[in-house]
Amino acid sequence: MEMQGKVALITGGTRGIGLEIAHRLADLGADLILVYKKAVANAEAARDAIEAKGRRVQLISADLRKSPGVASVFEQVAQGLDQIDILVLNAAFGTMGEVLRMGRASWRASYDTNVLSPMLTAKGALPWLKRKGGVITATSTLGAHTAYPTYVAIGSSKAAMETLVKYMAFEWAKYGIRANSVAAGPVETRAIDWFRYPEAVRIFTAKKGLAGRMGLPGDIAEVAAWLCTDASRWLYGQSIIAEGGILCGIDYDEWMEENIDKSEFAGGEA
Amino acid sequence: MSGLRLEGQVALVTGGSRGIGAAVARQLAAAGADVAIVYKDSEQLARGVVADIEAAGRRGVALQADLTTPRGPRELLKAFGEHFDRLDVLVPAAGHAEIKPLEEMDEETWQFSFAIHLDAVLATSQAAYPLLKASGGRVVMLSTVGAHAAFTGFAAVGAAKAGLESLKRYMASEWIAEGVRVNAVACGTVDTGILERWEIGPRVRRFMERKTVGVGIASPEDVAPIVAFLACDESRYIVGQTVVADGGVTLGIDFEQWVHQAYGADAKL
Repeated sequence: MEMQGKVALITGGTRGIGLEIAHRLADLGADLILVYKKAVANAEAARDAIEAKGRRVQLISADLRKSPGVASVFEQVAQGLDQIDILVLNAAFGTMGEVLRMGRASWRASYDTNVLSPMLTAKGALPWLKRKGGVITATSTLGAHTAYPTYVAIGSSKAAMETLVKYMAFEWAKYGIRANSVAAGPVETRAIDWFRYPEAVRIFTAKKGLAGRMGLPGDIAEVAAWLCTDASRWLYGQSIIAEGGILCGIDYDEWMEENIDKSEFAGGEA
Repeated sequence: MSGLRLEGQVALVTGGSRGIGAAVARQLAAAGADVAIVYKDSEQLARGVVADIEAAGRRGVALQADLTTPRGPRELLKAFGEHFDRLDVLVPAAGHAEIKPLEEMDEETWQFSFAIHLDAVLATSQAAYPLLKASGGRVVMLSTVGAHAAFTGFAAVGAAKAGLESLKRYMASEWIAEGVRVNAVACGTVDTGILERWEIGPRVRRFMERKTVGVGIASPEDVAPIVAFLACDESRYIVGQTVVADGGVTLGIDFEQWVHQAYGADAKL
């Protein structure tokens, strides 16, 4: 197994996409350090499920938004598995709302979780990643590449994070470290309920996406896990967009069918 | 009437006392706009730019503000409103760039870069929105090619500007229905005096001189007309885009040095 003897640290690793990534890396043989904020029951369930696969799991609870929280993670790593070969920057937070509704506090909270924290976390993990070389994979969003309704705080902060990841790749390749991102289209996680109209997002994704269905955490986790393996060794500082074909093109006919009263076209040349 | 004119219009340019902001202020005045510039510390320089605006026959005003404070942007727009009753063009050009690799990055440097390049632009644009909506206004942001590719020690600026370019897409898509147009210009290295402040400045200058053969290293006056174009009605069909103005530096890969390394200095390209 490719990741036997390796340790992966995953932030936000006890649910949603993070948990799916944890399972895939565990299946490849990696032991895991799962960082979560405060949902203990979730975290313990995740640990039990992965330990049942024969892997070691260290659970760490931390608030990653500020440097003391990040520092506490690495103090516990030093006292625990004391090894990081793979870093998955997955924890995310965002306030939904239009640009004009975006207050300073919620804007900053999104940026602190989605940009400052990955910067501090990667810096904190660097001493371990440098030992034998390693890999950093970050989860991002399609909203970093295009505009979604009410998504500015998340989309914009993830765009900043993707560029941060590019700089990690650029600056740390000399240590044998690769860094890349996967940008996910809408996926069925609890974050989908942050949208004002979550059902519209589901329908949109299934209708507009060429895959014809809503995204699942596993769809993204596959790409993220691949970015953590040596199979992706030629990729540095990239963002892989995984969105079920939403952005691939624009279909007039489908739009007409859904938006225009058919009687508009019915009459005329008899 | 000849194109690219802003007669009867009013522009607000942050970071307008020096560098790109000052050149933009002069350019917009030359296009016929009255211009309010915003400075933080350099009152002397700001007065000089106002004098230039007035010499072009336009009204010029210098406003002091620290846009990184929570109330700074709103107070700025209040002060602006005491001088002008309309706003057509907002150019948030205030910035600050330090060279620092991620390994040496501290929270203060990182957060300040985001505060000035991103948070201040959001808050200033929000505060300016009612006036921009009333006039069918335009916002022209300043970005950097360091948001698209990594440059030595430029992570704090590059990442903040990537966030800004995404913010631009959201502002543009949400505000275009009200007639407010948002775009950006992403510059390469611009000779604003910043190179003199960086330890790696001389190396950056040599690199840029070599890589911009044909156009030369950019001056603020090379960037200002592009900003002015995006501020004028002629660019009305450009919505939420970034115009890259880097003299071709990030366009392709230059093989010259490798040819010479492999085949000797006399090898013909």
